[in-house]
Amino acid sequence: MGHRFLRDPASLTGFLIVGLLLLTALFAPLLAPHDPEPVSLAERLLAPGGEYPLGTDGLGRCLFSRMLYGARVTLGYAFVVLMVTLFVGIPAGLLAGYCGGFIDGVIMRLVDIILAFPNLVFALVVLGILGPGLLNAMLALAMLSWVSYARIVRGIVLSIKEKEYIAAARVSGSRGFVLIWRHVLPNVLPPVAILATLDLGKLVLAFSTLSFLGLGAQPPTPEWGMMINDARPFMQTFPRLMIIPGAAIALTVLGFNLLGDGLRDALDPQGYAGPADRREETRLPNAPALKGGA
Amino acid sequence: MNLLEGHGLRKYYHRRGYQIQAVDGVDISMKEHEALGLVGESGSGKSTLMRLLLLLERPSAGDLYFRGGKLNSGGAQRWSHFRREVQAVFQDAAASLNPRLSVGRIVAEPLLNFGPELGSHRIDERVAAALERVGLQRDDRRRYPHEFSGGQQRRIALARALVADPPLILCDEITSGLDLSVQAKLLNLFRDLQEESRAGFLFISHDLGAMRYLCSRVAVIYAGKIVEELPVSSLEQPLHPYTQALLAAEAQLFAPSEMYLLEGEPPDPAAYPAGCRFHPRCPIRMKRCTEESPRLTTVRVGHRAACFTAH
Repeated sequence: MGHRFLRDPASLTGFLIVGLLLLTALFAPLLAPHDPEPVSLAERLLAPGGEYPLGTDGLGRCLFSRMLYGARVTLGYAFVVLMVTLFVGIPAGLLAGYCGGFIDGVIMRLVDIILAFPNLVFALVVLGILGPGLLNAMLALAMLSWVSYARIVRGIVLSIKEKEYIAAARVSGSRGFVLIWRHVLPNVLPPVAILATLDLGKLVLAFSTLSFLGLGAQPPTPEWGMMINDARPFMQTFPRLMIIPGAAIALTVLGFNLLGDGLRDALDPQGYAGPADRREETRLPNAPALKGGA
Repeated sequence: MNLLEGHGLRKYYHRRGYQIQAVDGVDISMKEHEALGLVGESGSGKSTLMRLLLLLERPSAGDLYFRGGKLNSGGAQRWSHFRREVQAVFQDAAASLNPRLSVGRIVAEPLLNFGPELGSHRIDERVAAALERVGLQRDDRRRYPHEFSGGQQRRIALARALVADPPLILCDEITSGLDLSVQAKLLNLFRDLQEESRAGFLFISHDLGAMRYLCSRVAVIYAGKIVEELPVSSLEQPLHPYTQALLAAEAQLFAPSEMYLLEGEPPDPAAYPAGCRFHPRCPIRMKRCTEESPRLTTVRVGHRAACFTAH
């Protein structure tokens, strides 16, 4: 599998981009030449070069350092949201698919309700009620994104439930939680891992969008979407202040998409013995893609 | 006291206003350490009956007893106790093995559920012993089901059924889809196991030859009902015309007889004919057969038939 994956130039590119981003996020404090937060009005809007590799922003902060720390914030929070999403979405899908009946009805109707709203509108409503802030933005995104996992997991569970090895496991005495844990979950995870990779890019974009609108990260936290918003007064005079974070967001999304596509191709066709017939499910990631903003 | 007893077992499915009578009033009984064969063509209800006996599905009507204890009332408690006593080898062995688990893990499953107090070391020992008993290697524990051939996969499924040493094992079509030489080896293995173990076996098959080899008693099922039940010793003198047709349809290598072929198709389970369900295809039907359904009646000791001509 790894062999096939790394031979594909697109997947390799995605892998390198994501790897680079993760390293940047991890080692930001070591790599950054300056503290990203203190304001120094005397050094505002300096040109790139010398002490400031990418120059300074409107408040005299080192743009390069803010970009590095921004990777940390953006990726880190997107990752946390993804974890919450998985911890809610997978059990919800397992329950709905395995139990069926009333529980299935309740969970899937809830899913339908959330899917009925345009994602951005839903996030805005949640943030309108809870107020802006990083934690609330994360909550809003998690409330949206668990839905697609619940649906996909439910679909896979429904197909696995009829397999003969589930009947055999019942005869061998497995039931309830044990049955799910041993026999259903291992078949659910590979497609979910692919979807999660694709979703991380979308979450980064969504997160930046909310921050751009002032609903996510709050100053002085360095966050790419918010940095684009901060750069608006200088759009004509110092376009790099907007272009650099914008490019970083685009690159991140691209990286995760390439990686996810590569993983899907490497894992799907015959590489694993799982339900390859669920392929179309992983092609329909219905994550909160917030259009606009960045 | 019988090992397993089913009285008036019925399973009806409802599909778009039709009622499908997959199993319709089956009485079945097995003694301890007995080998019973259940023979029937596709769609006759034999696999549904197996699912009923395994408690994978609830019967629409009828009672199921294991060693005198009633099963299909009572809650999950009694079921889980029964589960320990009855294991199965499914028809599609490949599909009955979880592709993501190692062979050792698959075979250990009944022990992990029924005897976790054994501890991982002894469970591992018993898994290895079970694999050896069915003719596989101890070290096959670490391999995965797809690395094995069809015959070996059946052996893995059999090892799983044997590992907890249950008193009853149900085997669905153990030889179908295998080479003749592999079939022969499997049949010998089953015969050895019958002698070594305390288990009773219920074999479900359409292969009369295998039945003769493995079973002491054979029940023939047609259109959801048992039409004849007889000791293997009198299998060559069946009383029911359907059993006679089954025997005649076997390939006769040394004594090619004039073929006694049945006309028509098995009946649609959503619309069985009135009277005896076999009468539209029966060469010796009478007027009575179209009106009245013959009951399964004892003809001789150990021999029951559901045909007016036999009564």
